[in-house]
Amino acid sequence: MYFVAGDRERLERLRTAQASLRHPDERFMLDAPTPAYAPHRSITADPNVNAVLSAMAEHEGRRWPLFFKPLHGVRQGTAHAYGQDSLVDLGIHEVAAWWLARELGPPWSELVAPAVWFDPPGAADIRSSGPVSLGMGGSALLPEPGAGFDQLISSAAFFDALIGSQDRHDQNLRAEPPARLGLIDHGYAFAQPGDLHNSYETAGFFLRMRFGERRFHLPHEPVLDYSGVGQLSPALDEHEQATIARLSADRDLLGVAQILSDDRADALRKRVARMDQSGEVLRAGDF
Amino acid sequence: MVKVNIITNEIRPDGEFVDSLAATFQVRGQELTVTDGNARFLQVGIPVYSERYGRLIDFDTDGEEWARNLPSAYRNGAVTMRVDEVTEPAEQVSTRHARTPALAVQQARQRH
Repeated sequence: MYFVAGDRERLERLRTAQASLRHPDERFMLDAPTPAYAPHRSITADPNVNAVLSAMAEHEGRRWPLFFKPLHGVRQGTAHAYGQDSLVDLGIHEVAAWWLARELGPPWSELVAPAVWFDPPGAADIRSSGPVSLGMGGSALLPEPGAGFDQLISSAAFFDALIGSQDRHDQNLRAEPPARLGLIDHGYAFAQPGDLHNSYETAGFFLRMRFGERRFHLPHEPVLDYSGVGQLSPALDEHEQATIARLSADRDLLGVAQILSDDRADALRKRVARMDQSGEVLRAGDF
Repeated sequence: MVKVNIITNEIRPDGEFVDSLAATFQVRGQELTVTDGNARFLQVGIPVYSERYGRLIDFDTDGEEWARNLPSAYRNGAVTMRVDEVTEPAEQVSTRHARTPALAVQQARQRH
C-alpha cells in the first residue's frame, strides 16, 4: 500500500541507490546481519508505547545500536496534520536528511544520524518497512548551560533551516560532553511553506539561539537556560555560504532531489535561494 | 487517571544502552502532578494526535487524552514513554476534575 503519487518510485530509487552506498556507517547498517529488533528495552505496554524498535547490530568486529522505525508506528492523523500525507515519504525523509548531510560533509555529516531504508525479510506490507538510523552517542538532552556547544548549535541550526525541520526540540537530539551533538528524528522535515511547525516551547531552538534566544520557558520549570552558549549570529558564515552556493548550482540537490517529492525539492531550492539572497539562516518554522 | 513514565536512554562510548527513568507524572482530569524525576522532560506544549478528537490536541484540550496519546509524539528512539490507565474509586474522580475536557463540552453542546 502506498500513499501518494510518486512515493513508490521515490522509494525504488532509494532502494536501488543503497546497493552502491560506500559510507562505512551505511555499509554497516546494510551489511550487518539483521539484528533482533524489539520494542526498546523493557517497555511492554502495548499499544501505548513508542513504536521505535532497537537492536544491537554486529558486523566485522563492530557492535553498535540501531533504531528501526517501521511505518506502521506512525499515526496517519499526526502525519496529515504536519502536511505529510505519505508515510513512505515520511520514512524517506530520515534517509534524505542523512544523504544531504553526507554530501555536505563536515560538520553536518558528523552531526546527523546516518540512516538507510530497511525492508524486513519477508515483509508483505510496506508499513512493515521503514528507516533504520545509527544510534548517536549521548543522551537526549542538551546540557545546560550549553557552553562548548556554540559551533555545533550554529551548524545544527543551519541544517534545520535547510531541511525545513518541523520537529526539532530539546529532546530530538543526542548530546554528551565534551561537546558532541547528534541530530536525530527527521521524518517531519522537508516541509513546504504553510506546513505545521511543532508548537512545543523549545521547537526550533537551535535556530532561535542563532537569533539570540537563550531562555526557554517550560510549563513545569521556571526556565531552560542556555545562557552559557556564546554569541551566535543568523548571518551565514563562509562555509555556510559556500554550501548554499553548492546547492544553488546543483538542480539535483547533491542527489537528494531523487528521493524527495518534486514540491518538497522545490521548497528546499527556494529555502536555499532565500538564504543566498538574505545571507542569513531562516527562522524556525519559516519553510 | 493516566500515569506516564518517561524513560530516556544514553548510548555510551562502547555502544551500550543505559536506560533511566527521567520523570513520572500523572494526569487526573486537568490536574498534572510530577511524582518523580525531572520536570524538564515534560512537554506539555507538544501536540499529539487523538483519534477521539480526530485532530491534534494539547494538554489544555484534554489532559488525560493528551497523556494517553503522548507516546505517538516520540519516535526518536532516545525518549520512550509508557502510559498506564489507573482506575480510581468513582468518588475520588468526581471531586478532582478541575476542568471539563473539551470533547465533553463539545459532546454536551451537540446533545442540545
